[in-house]
Amino acid sequence: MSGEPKSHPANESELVARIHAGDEQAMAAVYDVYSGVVYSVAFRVLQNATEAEDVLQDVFLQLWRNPSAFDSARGQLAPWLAAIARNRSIDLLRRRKPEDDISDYVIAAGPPHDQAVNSELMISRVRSTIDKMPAEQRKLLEMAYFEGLTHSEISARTGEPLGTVKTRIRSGLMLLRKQFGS
Amino acid sequence: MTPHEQYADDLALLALGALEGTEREQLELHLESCAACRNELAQLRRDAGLLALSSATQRPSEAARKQFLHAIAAEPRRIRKSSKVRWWSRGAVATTAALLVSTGLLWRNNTQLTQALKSAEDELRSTQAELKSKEQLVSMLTAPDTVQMLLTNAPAVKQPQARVVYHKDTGRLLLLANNLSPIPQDKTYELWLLPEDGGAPVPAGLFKPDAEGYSTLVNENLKPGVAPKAFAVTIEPVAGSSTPTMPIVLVTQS
Repeated sequence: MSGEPKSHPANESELVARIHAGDEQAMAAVYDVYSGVVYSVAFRVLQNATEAEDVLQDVFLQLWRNPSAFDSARGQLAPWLAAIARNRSIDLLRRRKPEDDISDYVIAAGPPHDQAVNSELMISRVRSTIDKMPAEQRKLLEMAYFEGLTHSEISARTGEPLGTVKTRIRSGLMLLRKQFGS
Repeated sequence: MTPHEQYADDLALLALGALEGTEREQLELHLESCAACRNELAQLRRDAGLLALSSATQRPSEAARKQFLHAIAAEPRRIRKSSKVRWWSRGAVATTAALLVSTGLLWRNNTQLTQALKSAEDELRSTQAELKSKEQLVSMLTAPDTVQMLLTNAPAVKQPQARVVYHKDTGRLLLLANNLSPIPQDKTYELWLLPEDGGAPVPAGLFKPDAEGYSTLVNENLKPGVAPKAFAVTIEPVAGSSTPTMPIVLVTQS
């Protein structure tokens, strides 16, 4: 089954406002749309369904308890939730206590790249951009982002010089930025 | 203002959490004094956040969904008891400390300062009363025997909706409403408690929506001990009514 959002909510800020008011139906609607994205990120990092579902629960419960952490003016829910899931998963992967409060992600993880595009389109564009990257560059980004490896560890695993690892990772992020026009 | 080129690669690694050792320490030291590099780091984190969207290929189990819905039902509202109470407690302590300082000065000053003391005392009483009221409200909201009832006229997304939290033994009540229609200036919404014993509807408070249709009502003066069969909302003259005027615009779901 696809993990992409089933449908894009007409107004995310309205849904979040309803969550603010304690509307469980609105919270369920957000879960239904974005649980696939959140779970997929967690599973990709952890490679374990049980742990990925633990992260899934954690991410959405944090939104339920503290919806004001999400600022719709700064970006869309999908990348914001996905980035939280990634960070929580890396924390779990490293078997360390989560360090970040959900509020810390307001600026760090909600790309206001293009308010007009919906989440499905954004996912498609991200995949397309990453697919077009050279395989070596894509691998380095994935090792850093999804495996939580440091640049030294990546260099040791790939045999690439540290400088090359650094430069390729940065240029990969720049390519994403360029594609999303920010 | 542009970020420093010599830190460009390390900023990208830091955004991914992949920088370590002395390079990380040096960069973090630099960031403390360089706004341009801090801005670039924030941007790189947004860029990195897009990577998370590249892996959407799985769906969680239905059991996980049920577990989540059960979890939020068990936490019907995020009552910020600890932070609110601490905040107000701090406020009360701060006010008390200020009062003590003021008192010391007043002993060696004139009637003008006496007036300041009275003002500070009034402020303290007001703060304490507000603190007590909020603590009682929090206590009511978190009491295990407090009941919540949802009022709505339809399950559709944008329909008016209100949630009533009511504690029978103390007669305390909280209403949170959204998507309310605007109301004329000479009218008001009025909440009614419909007693379980079939008695006459009890006026439970007046409220008006803000520009976005939201409204909150706190009523701590209802007669204690009245068990509710339901709650309902009507539109009444601005001063309220002693009996509801039809039609009912919101009513507890059966």
